[in-house]
Amino acid sequence: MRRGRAVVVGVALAGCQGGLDAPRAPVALDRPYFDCRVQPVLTKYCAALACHGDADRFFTVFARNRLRLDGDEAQRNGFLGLDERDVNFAAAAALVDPEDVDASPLVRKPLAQAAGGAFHVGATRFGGADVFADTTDPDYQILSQWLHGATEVATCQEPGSNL
Amino acid sequence: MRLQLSAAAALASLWMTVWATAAAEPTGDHADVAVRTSLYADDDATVISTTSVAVEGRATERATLRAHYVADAVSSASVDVVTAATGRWTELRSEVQGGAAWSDGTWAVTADYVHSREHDWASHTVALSGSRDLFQHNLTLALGVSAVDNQVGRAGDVTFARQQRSAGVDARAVWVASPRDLWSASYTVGYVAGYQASPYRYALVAGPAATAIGFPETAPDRRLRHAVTARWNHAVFTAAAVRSHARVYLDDWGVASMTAGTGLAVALGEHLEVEATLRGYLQRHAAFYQDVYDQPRRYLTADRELSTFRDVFAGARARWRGERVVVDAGVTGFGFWFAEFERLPRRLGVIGELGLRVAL
Amino acid sequence: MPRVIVVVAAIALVGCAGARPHERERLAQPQMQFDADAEAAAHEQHVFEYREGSAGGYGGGGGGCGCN
Repeated sequence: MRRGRAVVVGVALAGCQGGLDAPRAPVALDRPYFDCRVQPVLTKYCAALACHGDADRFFTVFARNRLRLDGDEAQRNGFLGLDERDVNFAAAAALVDPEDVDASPLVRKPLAQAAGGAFHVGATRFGGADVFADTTDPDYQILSQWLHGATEVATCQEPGSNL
Repeated sequence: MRLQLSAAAALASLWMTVWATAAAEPTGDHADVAVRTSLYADDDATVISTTSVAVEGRATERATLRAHYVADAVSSASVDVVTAATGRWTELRSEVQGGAAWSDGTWAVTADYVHSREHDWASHTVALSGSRDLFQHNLTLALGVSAVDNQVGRAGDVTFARQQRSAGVDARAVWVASPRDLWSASYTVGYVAGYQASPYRYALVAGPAATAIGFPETAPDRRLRHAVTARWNHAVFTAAAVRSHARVYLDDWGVASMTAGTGLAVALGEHLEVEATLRGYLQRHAAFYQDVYDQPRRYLTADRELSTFRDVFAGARARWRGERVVVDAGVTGFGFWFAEFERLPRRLGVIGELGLRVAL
Repeated sequence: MPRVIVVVAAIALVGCAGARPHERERLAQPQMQFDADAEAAAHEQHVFEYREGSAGGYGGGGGGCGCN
């Protein structure tokens, strides 16, 4: 009887895998490099209001003259605020696969499937071509290098920003 | 399309075998053909039409062959996808099954193969079972095993391919407790290995400035599942039965659930039977589930089926049994209440069903 | 010892109770069968397995579920 009860308790306790709610392994992503080099790429290719400049999308990008975190229409073209940069950084970091950065959606989504990219609705909506035809695109290289640990000096300034 | 053609050819072939067998044995009752169609609609903008055709025929005195084909047509704009780039989506799932059964009245064995395919999922299933009647057919012990190989894809994505494999064992006892009571108890254990997330869903994590950041889903690549089920059919009055069931489920993701249901089936005269059913379900969430995660975690899911919720199904069905024809029609209403899924706190819907079975 | 209890319980359940052949009229009625209509049961289980986090215990199962 005691053994039977022990079995029941044991099954209940040992039932769950360990570490199911463990924190995600952090990925070292350089913030100055993001602000200075990655943000312009996101602004250029991703932040259109019909694309990721939409607060209802899972990947949202704030950018000047596009989606803004707050403020009125007259402030739409103002410099990006720190909150907006923080959100953009977090949203881009969320699309990084910590176990295989080259498989990260941040770089595979905008890459043409013929070059090893993943399906991207944006490619089907705008003429069938994805953002980057292949991995030699200089802007693709910026994203890729960021994932591979590229860093930038803190004084680096994004063109057109108040950084 | 090729799958549907080959499935149709297989069904046609089996049909001809069954027909020939039935024609050679004019005593009849050597083959059954069943057609069933159902329509599911819920207020989460999802409509599913399911149609199946099944054929079963006696190949020898002790052996039967069976085959079925199922087609699901799904159209959905569920909250799962409306916040992604995808709007309403539609898809067709086809399933074809072939199997054989053998019984000498005491021993019985079955073997089945199922192939299912949709545009982003393909699976192969093999299932075997055996049973033995004991104590003058008052007890039946059965053991079944199954193995499934799934290939998971992503619509439009030629580069996405993942594998998921599962295996299960089901041990079952059915016993006659009295001339009015039939009981069944079973234990099912299943193991799933491989990709178990969805490539379409994003989990939300609390971000800076009170925003929620979308992360691609990640789920553990193995899952061990246990279910213990009891069923009890009890004859009441002169031609009625109360059919009840209960299940307890546990898995090593932390999901725990209880299912309980009952129904009353009453024969009204020689041919007509009506039935009312009620089923309730309670579930505790997976250990790694959060509606909006407090921080990025190793496993992140937006699957509301892994959240804490309850549901209720209530249905009514009428069945008319002729000498060789059985027709049934049913309607079921249901409600889901998700305690931890803010995007869809409640889902209500209805399922209508129509079935026809003909003995040749 | 536990094995003996199982055997005794099994005999008690089915050996002494049960139903003799001439007592099976009610048991043979369609409404007393488990899943007398396999296709209807399969449709029903498919609905549950697709929408609930649990699976198994009611027989059936099999093909791909469109879980993606």
